[in-house]
Amino acid sequence: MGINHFADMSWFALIVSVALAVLSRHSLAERLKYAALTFVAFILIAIAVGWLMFPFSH
Amino acid sequence: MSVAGAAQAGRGDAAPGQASAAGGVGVLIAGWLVPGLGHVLKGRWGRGIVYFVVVGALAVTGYLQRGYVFSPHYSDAFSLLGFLADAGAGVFYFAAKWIESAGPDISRAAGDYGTRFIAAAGVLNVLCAFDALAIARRERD
Repeated sequence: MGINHFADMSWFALIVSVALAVLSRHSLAERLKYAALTFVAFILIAIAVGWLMFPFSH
Repeated sequence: MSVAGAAQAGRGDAAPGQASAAGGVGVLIAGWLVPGLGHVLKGRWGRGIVYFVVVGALAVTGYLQRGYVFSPHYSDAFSLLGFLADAGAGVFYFAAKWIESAGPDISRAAGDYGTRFIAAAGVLNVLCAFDALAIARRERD
């Protein structure tokens, strides 16, 4: 199975975001909002950490 | 986010009159063995289906990427933790040998990622099983 690092990370973030939203929120609207925010947070934090680590890769 | 809080938050999707007489420990074990079954036993069909799908998606993705599946025959603390995390996925852990028939390949990044996916599936399922236990205890009280 081929790999795309960003797609892999996004897939993981999507699944976990949905699970956490269903676990911790009550209504559908709240769950959708929580899942979206969590997903965006996953992606943005991962990109930020990636850039922070970039200088150490050279 | 506490499990009890999560359980309280999920009261709204319970269908009236569907709560079964399943005991707390039975719900916990059922939820571990088959992801989402603990919630189904307590009448939370929606949650149960979502948990089955998300845990299954994580585990199957990990297997397709040929992640490493820790066996019960651990040799050190790290292997023990890996086994506990992987075994948390219940039936998906036991199905690993059929889904990942080619065996693990952690010499590539995909296999390394797959190992994390499999562990995440198990840990998430344990969280869901304890959520079902909290629901059962709250209903009993």
